[in-house]
Amino acid sequence: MTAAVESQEPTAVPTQRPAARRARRPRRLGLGRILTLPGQMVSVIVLVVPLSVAFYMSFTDWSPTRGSLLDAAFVGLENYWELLVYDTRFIEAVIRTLALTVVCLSLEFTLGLGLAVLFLRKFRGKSLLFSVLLTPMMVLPVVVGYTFWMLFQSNGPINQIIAFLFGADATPEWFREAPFAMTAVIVTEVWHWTPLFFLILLSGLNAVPDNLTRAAVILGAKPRQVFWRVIFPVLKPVIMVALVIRSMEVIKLFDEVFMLTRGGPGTATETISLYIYKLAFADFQLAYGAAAAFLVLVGTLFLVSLLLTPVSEQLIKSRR
Amino acid sequence: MTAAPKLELRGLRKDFGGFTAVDSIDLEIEAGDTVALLGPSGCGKSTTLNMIVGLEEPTSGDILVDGRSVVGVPPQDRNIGLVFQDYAVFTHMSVRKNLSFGLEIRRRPRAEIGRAVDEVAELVGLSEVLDESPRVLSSSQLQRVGIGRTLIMKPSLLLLDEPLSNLETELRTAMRQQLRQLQLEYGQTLIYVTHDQIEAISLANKIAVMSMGAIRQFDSADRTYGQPAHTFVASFLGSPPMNLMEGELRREGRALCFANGSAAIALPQEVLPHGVEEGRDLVLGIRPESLQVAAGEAAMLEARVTLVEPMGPEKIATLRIGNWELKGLFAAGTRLVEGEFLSLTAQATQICLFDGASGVRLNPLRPEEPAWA
Repeated sequence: MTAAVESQEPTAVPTQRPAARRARRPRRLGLGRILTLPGQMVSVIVLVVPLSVAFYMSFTDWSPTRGSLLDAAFVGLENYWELLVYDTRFIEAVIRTLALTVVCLSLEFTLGLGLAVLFLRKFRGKSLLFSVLLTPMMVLPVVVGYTFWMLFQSNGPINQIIAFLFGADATPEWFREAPFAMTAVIVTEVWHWTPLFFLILLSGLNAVPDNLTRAAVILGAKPRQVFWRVIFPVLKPVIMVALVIRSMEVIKLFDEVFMLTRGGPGTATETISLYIYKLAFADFQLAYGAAAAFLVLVGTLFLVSLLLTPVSEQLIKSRR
Repeated sequence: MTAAPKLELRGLRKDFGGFTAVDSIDLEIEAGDTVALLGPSGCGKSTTLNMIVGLEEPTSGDILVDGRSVVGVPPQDRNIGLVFQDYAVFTHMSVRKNLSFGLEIRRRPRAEIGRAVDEVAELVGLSEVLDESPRVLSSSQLQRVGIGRTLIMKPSLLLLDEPLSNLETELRTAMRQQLRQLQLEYGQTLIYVTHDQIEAISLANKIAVMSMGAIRQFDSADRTYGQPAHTFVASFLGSPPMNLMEGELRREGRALCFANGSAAIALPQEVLPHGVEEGRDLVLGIRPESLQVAAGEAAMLEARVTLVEPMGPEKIATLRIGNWELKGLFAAGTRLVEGEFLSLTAQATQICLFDGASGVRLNPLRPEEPAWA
């Protein structure tokens, strides 16, 4: 890592003269490297060591109830095989999480974009509404989960409103039936994170040069065409980055589901993180859980790179 | 080919809240003209441009293209093209897509679009880079994309916002020639909006000088320079600008004299316009290059040389008469010594008199004459 920094052009540090920099190069252990050492050691301790241990663990049958990890039997790819071929609960959790990601992101994107477009205009109370809109994002996920758990109680405020509007027979038992439990999870998640989309898309929209839209208008584009043919393509990298950030978040979704449904009824709202949590800390199958976690990591990496492919040129090589 | 139109602005006015950006301007542009709207930033030229294009609606007044009012007509239906200062090229599309954007939006047949794109690309010299991304183009190529994208719509009027200001010096000359050529080949009516007098003089055959939301003069480049109609025009054009001196007229016997305190300039009789009485506050204007070294009877004024700046073929001298400070432009061989007095004169035709309060020119404009240079 340090080598890459060293090899950068001298212009990267304008205050230093190139000659002085070149003269120092032969000294392999420069002050710069020594200064980065503590940071590197911390990253080794907190990142590399646990990840390596977990990676090794995923090839064993270790459980904390059975003594040291070093004594655990090496089982090769057995855990992975089991997960991918036989563990329907795992596969269902993966599919459920992906479906949840698609639904939540679609809703959050649509709502966030609508709000952002609204905020391009002037209206009364705009700055107040702006602060209000950003508040959900600042609330702790656990608190959001707990709040919505109370809101969705069978005699809670949401059901009271439904009863008032459609009669007492229309009130669902939110956490007892699978579709309703899932709806509650989605509503909570969308409420919590639409502001992020709103914020990112608003800054993206504001960064679109006025003259681009003006040029399109003069050339004859209608508002809809201006949006889809000029603004949207310029906004695309921003949208993709927002989608990547949020999809990683939804894949890791834990707190709200844990507070709302604990994955229930049955496993109807069990996300992948919740399942791995249960494997590791309820069933003490730590090795098996580690294998599942690595599969999710690989899957997420694949998904993220897939999402970023169409905009990688714009993001990385945009300026020569 | 669409016949080039005449653009007419009648009492055009634009208020933003309490601020008047454009104050009832009148302007008539003949077909095939190249006109520069020249003025410092904040003078209202961009607002005027936006109103002509239709991005901004006037508070009052009328805009006529080919004799028909376009006020209230949406921008896309005005048949007026605008090339932006930053070119506003769609960087997510290829050059070809940029050029064809307007026609595709209007759902023209594919074959027609292809033909038009090839034709315009040829005209603005982009045939080689049609399938490139604008990201790899130079600024002059980007500008040509902006121009081509507009020309393909065959606008009856083409407006260019600060067309040369984003270009490197060597490209400016090339682009200037290309714009000239384009105008000659296409017979397009062109309007340049610029704050740069050199850009205005080099591109346009007529210049409308604007300040404070008003047009101070609309005339040929030669006349706006040589016979400014307003003190603003006099001080805005030229480098160094016209010397402007505040004072009043005095008659001493048969001689006419422009004075302020101890400073005085003897004026030839013919400079004085009709109806200008003694004692009125006036502004006298003489271009630095109009000042000539003279001796004896011919001398109009005596000035002390305070600074001499050699500029290669010329020298700029800073001169002092009483409270007035003047600049004079002399040939390099002229003997100028700092601290010494110098007798100077100027031709009567090159002396301008302006009203002290309004800044409006008092001596009548002479008919077009050969270039001042």
